[in-house]
Amino acid sequence: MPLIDKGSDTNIKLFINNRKYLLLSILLVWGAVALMAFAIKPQVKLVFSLRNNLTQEKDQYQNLVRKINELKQIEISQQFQQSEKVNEVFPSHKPVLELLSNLYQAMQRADVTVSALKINPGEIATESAEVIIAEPAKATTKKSVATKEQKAYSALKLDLTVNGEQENVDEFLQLVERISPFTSIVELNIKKTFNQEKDRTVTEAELLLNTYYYTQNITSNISDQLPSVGEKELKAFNTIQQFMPSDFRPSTEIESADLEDLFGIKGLF
Amino acid sequence: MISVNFLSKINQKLSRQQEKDNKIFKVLLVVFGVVFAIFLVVFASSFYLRYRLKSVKAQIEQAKKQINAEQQLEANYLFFVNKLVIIRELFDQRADKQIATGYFSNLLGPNIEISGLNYDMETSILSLTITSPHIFYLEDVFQALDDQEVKKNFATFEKSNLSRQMTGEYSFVLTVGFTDESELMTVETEYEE
Repeated sequence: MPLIDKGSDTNIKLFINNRKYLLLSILLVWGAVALMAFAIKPQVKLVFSLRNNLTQEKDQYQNLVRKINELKQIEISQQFQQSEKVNEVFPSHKPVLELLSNLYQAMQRADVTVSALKINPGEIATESAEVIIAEPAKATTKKSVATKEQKAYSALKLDLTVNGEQENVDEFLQLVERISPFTSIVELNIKKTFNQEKDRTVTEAELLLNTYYYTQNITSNISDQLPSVGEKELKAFNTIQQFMPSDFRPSTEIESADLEDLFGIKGLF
Repeated sequence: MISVNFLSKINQKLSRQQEKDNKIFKVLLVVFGVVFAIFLVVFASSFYLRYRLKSVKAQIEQAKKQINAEQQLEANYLFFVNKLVIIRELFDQRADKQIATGYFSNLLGPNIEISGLNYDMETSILSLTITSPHIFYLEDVFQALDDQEVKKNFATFEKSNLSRQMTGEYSFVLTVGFTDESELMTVETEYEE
């Protein structure tokens, strides 16, 4: 056995010595195959994946840059600088005080008198419009919930009866749809009665007014593009600029207060 | 005795074999070199793409920070646009009522009075109470309203509740409905005012 082993070793050494290029060639083939299978193929896959990612990220970056530019444009946009008027016409809260104040202004201007007024403001605290800056995954869910469950606006109803000359009542009816907050006449009954004392016909108009206010939540995603203002919206914007200017200024301080008797009922019982 | 030397033949055969091996080796060396070069190119591409991706991600983060800093401005603008869209919708809905009231007022003339109005903005149904001072004007009113040219402007068109007052006035309710295709209705009129 050792003799055979010795002979075999010699043969192998002889073979290696004589055919070393062949052996090196075999090694090269194996090396090339291994390189392709274990290094190039995974790297090529990785390169494609990285390229796709890079394209997506570049697109996202372009969108963000566009958004930054749009935000810069917004800041100097003439319409947006007058957005206060839009908030005045369509506030994000129940505009009871604004409505009463501006109605009074319209009545004075049209020279009509009020004989009855009924308003039911309902709950004082309502869910106000709010901004949610959401993560992309959450944004879709929240948006769909918002559109399904929430109406974009609510209406505050007001019953009103006004009296005056025919032309004054007509003027008031026109003015009432041009006050802020956005108000529409949804019911109207006009009666004419002859006032013998004053020897003239007095017109009485019973109105049901709907005053609208904004109630929708807005969900925004950081990479979402900003919406643009359409042509019709611009026309609406120009129209509300012609609405009757409001004199209403919200109170910011308590001018007088009696904490002992807040509602002035002391001594009534 | 003749001596035969096989070694020379064997050596020649071996040399030819080694030359052939050498050639194959050289060819394969070139092939391997090409494969290795491809590996280097692919590896360099992957390295470059990683670097670019990292740099773009950093730019994205920077841009996001910039947008977040303008969060309030964006929110105000979104409210602004959303409110304008709704105001436009409200104008559209209200325009039906205003235009129809003006239309009937012109159609029926100064002797006929529109003394009542009921408007459902959601269903776009408008009911007008029309009052005529006497029966002769009322006949003219019915004649004007029965014209097909008038009716075709509305999706629904119905007269009801005809009544006579003690003063001799006649009144009835005219109910009209609007659709998007209603020919008369265009919001432009209100916007142009």
